[in-house]
Amino acid sequence: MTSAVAVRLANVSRHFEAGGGLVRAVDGVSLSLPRGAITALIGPSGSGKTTLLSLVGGLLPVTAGVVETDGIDLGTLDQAALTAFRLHHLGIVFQAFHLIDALTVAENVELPLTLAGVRRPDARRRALALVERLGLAARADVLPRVLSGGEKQRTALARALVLDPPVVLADEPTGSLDAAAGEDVITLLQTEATAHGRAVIAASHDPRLLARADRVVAMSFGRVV
Amino acid sequence: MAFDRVRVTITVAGIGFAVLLMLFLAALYDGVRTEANGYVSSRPVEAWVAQEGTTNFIKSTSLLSAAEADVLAQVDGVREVSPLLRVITTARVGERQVTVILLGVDPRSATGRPEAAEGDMVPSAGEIVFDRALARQHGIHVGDTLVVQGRPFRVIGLSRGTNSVLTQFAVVTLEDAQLLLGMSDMASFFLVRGIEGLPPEALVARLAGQVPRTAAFTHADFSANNMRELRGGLLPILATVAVLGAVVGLAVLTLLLYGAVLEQREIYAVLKAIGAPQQVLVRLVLFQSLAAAGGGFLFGALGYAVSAPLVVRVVPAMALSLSADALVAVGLATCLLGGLGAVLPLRRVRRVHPAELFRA
Ligand SMILES: Nc1ncnc2c1ncn2[C@@H]1O[C@H](COP(=O)(O)OP(=O)(O)O)[C@@H](O)[C@H]1O
Ligand SMILES: [Mg+2]
Repeated sequence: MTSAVAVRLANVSRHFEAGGGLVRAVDGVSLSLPRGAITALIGPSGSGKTTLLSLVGGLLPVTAGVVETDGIDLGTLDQAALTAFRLHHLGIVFQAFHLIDALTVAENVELPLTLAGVRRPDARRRALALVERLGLAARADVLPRVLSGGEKQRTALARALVLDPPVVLADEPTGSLDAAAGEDVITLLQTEATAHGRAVIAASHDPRLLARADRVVAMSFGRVV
Repeated sequence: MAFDRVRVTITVAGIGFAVLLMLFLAALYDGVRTEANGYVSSRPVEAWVAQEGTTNFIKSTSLLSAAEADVLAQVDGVREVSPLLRVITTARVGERQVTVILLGVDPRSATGRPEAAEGDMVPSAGEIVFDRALARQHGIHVGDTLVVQGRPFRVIGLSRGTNSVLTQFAVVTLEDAQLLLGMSDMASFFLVRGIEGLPPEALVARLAGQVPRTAAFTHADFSANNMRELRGGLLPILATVAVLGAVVGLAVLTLLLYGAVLEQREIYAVLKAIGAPQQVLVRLVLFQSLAAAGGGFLFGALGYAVSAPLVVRVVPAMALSLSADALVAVGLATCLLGGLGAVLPLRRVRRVHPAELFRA
C-alpha cells in the first residue's frame, strides 16, 4: 500500500488576495517527493516555499489542484479529518521552534502522544526514549526557556517525530541556530530520512542542508524551476 | 498553561463581586420571606377576617367596625376574636422622623402580641413596642420616649419578625391606635381562634357571611397571600439586579478570557498544527473559564461571610438570611456563567490559524 512516493502534487496553486491584488504564492506546481530522502526546497524569500509546505501539511487549502500526502488526497478531508491526519501522518518543525513554554521538554514531546490517546506511563516512556535518542536526556525535565537554540530545535524535532510520522515538514529548521547546532539538526533530519524511511521536506536557505539533501526543488515566483 | 497572575486575580475578583451581589440578593429575598412575613405567619390563630376584597396584610386597606368582633364571637366554634388596627404614621425620635406601621392590638389577647427580642410585649396606654431593626437603625432603646402625632409613647420592648424591609411594625394598644387614627370603633382585621379540634376550613365556612362585606381566610391562606404580595413586589426587582450582576460578571470573564486566548494563541496554533482535535481546545478554554468561575464563587462566598454581618450592623433593616438552597442556586448560576464565558473566547480560538506558526 505504501508507495515510494510520499507526497504528490498535481497542478497545485494557492493564491492570496492581498492589498487589492492577487498573489500567486504557489502557481501550478506538480511534484512527486520520495520517502527515505531529504528534499530541500530552495528559492528566494517570497518564492512560495512556506506556502507549499502548508499545502502539503493540510494547514492551508489549495486554490486549485490535488495534494496527496502519504497516499491521502487532502482535498477530501474536512477540518477534523485534516487535524487527525496531521497528528498521525505528519511531523512539523518550525524555524521559531514553537515549544509550549509552560511544559517541560519531556511534556512537550509527550503532547502528541497524549492527543493520540496514549496513556500516561506509556506516553512518558516513549517520549523519554526519543528525548534520549536525540541527545536531550539531561534536559528532559527542564522548561524550554533554559534551553539553547539547538536544544529547542531538537525538542521540537522530538515532538514532531514521537508518533513516528512518515512525512516530516521543516520550515527553515536551521534558520534560528548557530553553525554547530544547525549541523546537528541537519544530521538528525538525515538520520530520520535514511534510517527511518521518512520523507523529510525542508525549506531552507542553508547551503549545508542543500549539500546533504537527496533532492533539491528550486522555487521562484510560486513555480518550480 | 501560562497564566498571568494579575489577569487571574482581576477575573476571579470580577466574578467574585458578581457572586457576592447575587448572594446578597438571594439572602435578602430569603430574609424577606422569613422576616417580613414573620409577624403575620406567626399569629397563633386559625382564621383572619378582613374587609371584602382584601386578601393580604401588607398591601390592602381593610376597614371593619371593631364592634363586629362581638358578632363573630357568637359564631359556633369560635373561641376568641380580637381586632387589629393598622395605621401608617410617622414617629418623631428627637429630630428624626421615622415612618412606621402601627399595629393596635388588644393587650389582653396573645393573638396580636409580637415575638420578643427585648423587654415587654404587652403595651398599656401610652406604651409602644418597636421593631428591633428599626430601633437599632435610629438608636432607639427600651425606656426611650417617641412622639407620634404629638402624643408621647414610651418604648417598653423591641420585637422581632416585624421588619418588612421597606417598612417596619410597632405595636400599641387598640385604643391608642384608634385615637391616632381619629376614629374609634375601627379595626383592620379580626384575629380568630377556633375551638379545639375544629379544622380551620370549617371555621372559615362558619365565619363567612356572618358580617356583611367581610371575607374570612384560614390562617395558612392569609399568610400565603401575604407572602405572595411581598415576594411579588420584590422578586422581579431582586431578580433584575441579580441578572445585571451576572451579566457584568460574564462580561468580565469573557473579556479577560478573550485576552488570555489572544495571548496564548501560539499555544492554540501549535495544538492545531500538531493535530489536537477540536474537543481538546474546547476543554482547555472551558477549564480556564470554569476554574475562574469556581475561584470567583469561593471569593464571593467568602466575601459574603465576611461582609454580611457588617452590612446588617450598618443597615439593621436589611433582613439577610442565606439558605443552603440559595447558595446552591448561585453556585449553579456561576457554573453557567463559566460555560457562557467560554463562548466568545472559543470562537476566537476557532479562528487561530496554525499556518501562522511558519511566520518566524
Ligand atoms: N496568508 C497570506 N496572505 C497573503 N499573502 C501571503 C500569505 N502567505 C504568503 N503570502 C505571500 O505569498 C508569497 C509566498 O510566501 P511564502 O510562501 O511565505 O514564501 P517563502 O516561504 O518562500 O518566503 C509571498 O509573496 C507572500 O507575501
Ligand atoms: Mg518561508
